[in-house]
Parts: sequence; structure tokens; C-alpha cells
Amino acid sequence: MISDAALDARLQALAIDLAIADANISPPSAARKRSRKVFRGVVLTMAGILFAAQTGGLTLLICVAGVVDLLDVLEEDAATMRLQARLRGALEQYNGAYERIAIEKARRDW
Amino acid sequence: MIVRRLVPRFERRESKRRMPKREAPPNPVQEAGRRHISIMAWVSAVALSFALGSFVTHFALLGEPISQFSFQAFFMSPFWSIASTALVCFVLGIGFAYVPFSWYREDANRALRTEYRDLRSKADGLRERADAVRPSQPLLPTKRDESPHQPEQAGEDEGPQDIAAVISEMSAAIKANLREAGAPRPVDVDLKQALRSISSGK
Repeated sequence: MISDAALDARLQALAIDLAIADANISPPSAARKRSRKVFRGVVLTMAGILFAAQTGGLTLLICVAGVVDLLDVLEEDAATMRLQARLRGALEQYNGAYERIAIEKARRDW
Repeated sequence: MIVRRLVPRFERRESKRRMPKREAPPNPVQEAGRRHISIMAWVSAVALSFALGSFVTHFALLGEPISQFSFQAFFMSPFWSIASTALVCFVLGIGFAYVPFSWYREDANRALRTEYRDLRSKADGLRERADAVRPSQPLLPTKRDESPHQPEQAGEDEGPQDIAAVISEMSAAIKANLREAGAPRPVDVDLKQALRSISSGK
């Protein structure tokens, strides 16, 4: 039989965990930043390839910068997806924990 | 007795199993550095393989010796025009494909954030309700709450008055020690004589 104070402590720990997880979710500004980076990468790569013939291949260096941008964004997206999957799994556990605490509190007529 | 001891352990194990671990956030500088290194490795590998492929194709098609190779001629050749068109289409395709992908990602993130905030507000509401019902009880568990079934040890939960008494006792003992250390020592004590008197039993 868990005590009232321990139940409160669990609830508090759950609220802290939820706040931390909420802060870990990538903000919309990060997504916009990634979109801008993709656009820049595409433009740089295309320009590098298209002007390579006129400049004797010098613009391929710009192309490298563009490809680095694209890969950077893809890696960031993959990391965000992994984090999101982990947070999704954690959310189910948090839901379960909240349900158990709520049931216990309801049983004690709080 | 055994059951009493096992219950808190079981509860702790259960809570560990059910509640996800709090992970320390990764160092963003280190992560970004690692990512850039891996990206550079990727880009160099792709560039090298592309260069090798184009060289091989160029010499296989034209059958020229390497000494006669010129970049200007290579970039004017039909091979480069075909390859550049294909590359531009590929990059454009990536760019176009990214747009709906980013929408989808943003939407999924928004939904996840909303779910987390809903659950958080529910948990906060429950906490506030509990606080309103029992305002005098502390939120954090005391030592007794964490291990309610363990037998109480004598003198363990005697309250803050006892802590104050212990502290005053300790400070008195420290003062007495300091007084002893600061007291003037007898200068004219003969150690050999003192030892002799101790050994003779006087």
C-alpha cells in the first residue's frame, strides 16, 4: 500500500518528466530552419552543377557546400524522428503512470 | 516481516519499469561536430566515387590517354551534360520531396507536443486538487513515506529539535577540543621519566 505522500511525489515526478520531455520536442522554428537549409542546399548544388561547364569545374566547390547542407538536414531530421519515436513510446508509459495515479487518488476520494 | 521488506522493493522495481528513465540531454556541440565529420566523410566518399566513375566512363568512351585529359573538354562532353542534368533532377527531386516530408514532420511534432501538454495539464490539475484537499502535507516524501514498512529505529525520527541538540552537542565537543589544544603544555616534563613511572606502575 503506497502512502499519500509517495503518491504525491510520483505525481510530481511525472509532471517533471513531462516538462522535460516537452522541452525536448523540437520546436517549429527548428523545422523552419531545416527547410531553409534544404532550400539553400538545393540552390547551391544546382548552381554548382549548372555553372561547372562555364567555370571549368570551380563551382563544384559550391556544390559541395550545398550537399553538406542537404546531408546535415537529413541527419538532423533522422535524429528528430528517432527522438520523436522515443518520446511517443515514453508518452504511452507516462499515460499509464498517470492513469494509475489518478485511479489511486480517486479510490482515496481526493 | 519478509513480505513487509519485499513490498517497497517491488514497488520501486515496478516504478522503475513503468516510468521511463530521465536521460541527460546530449551535448549539442559534440553532436554537431560528430555529425559534420560524418557528413564530410559522406561527401568525400560520394565525390570520389563520382569522380572515379566519370573518369572511367570518359576514358572508356573516348579511349584517350590520361595525359590528354582536360577539364574544359570533360565539362563540354556529352557525358557531363547528361550527368549534370541527371544530378540537377535528382537534387530538385530531393528538394521537392522534402516539402511534404517537412509538413508531415511538423504536424507529427505538433500533435506530440499537444499530447504532452494535455497530459501535463491533467497531472498539474490532479496535483492542485490534491494540494487543495490536503494543504498541510508536504509534496516530497519524507524518509518514513519512502519506506513505510521498515521497522523504526530508535532515535531516528525524533524531529528537528533533536537535530538541534546534536548540533549543539557537537559544537560543545569541538569547543572543548579546541580549549584542550589551546591550553599551555607543561614544558618541563621529562618524557623518559614519565615512561619509566608508567612502566613501574606508579
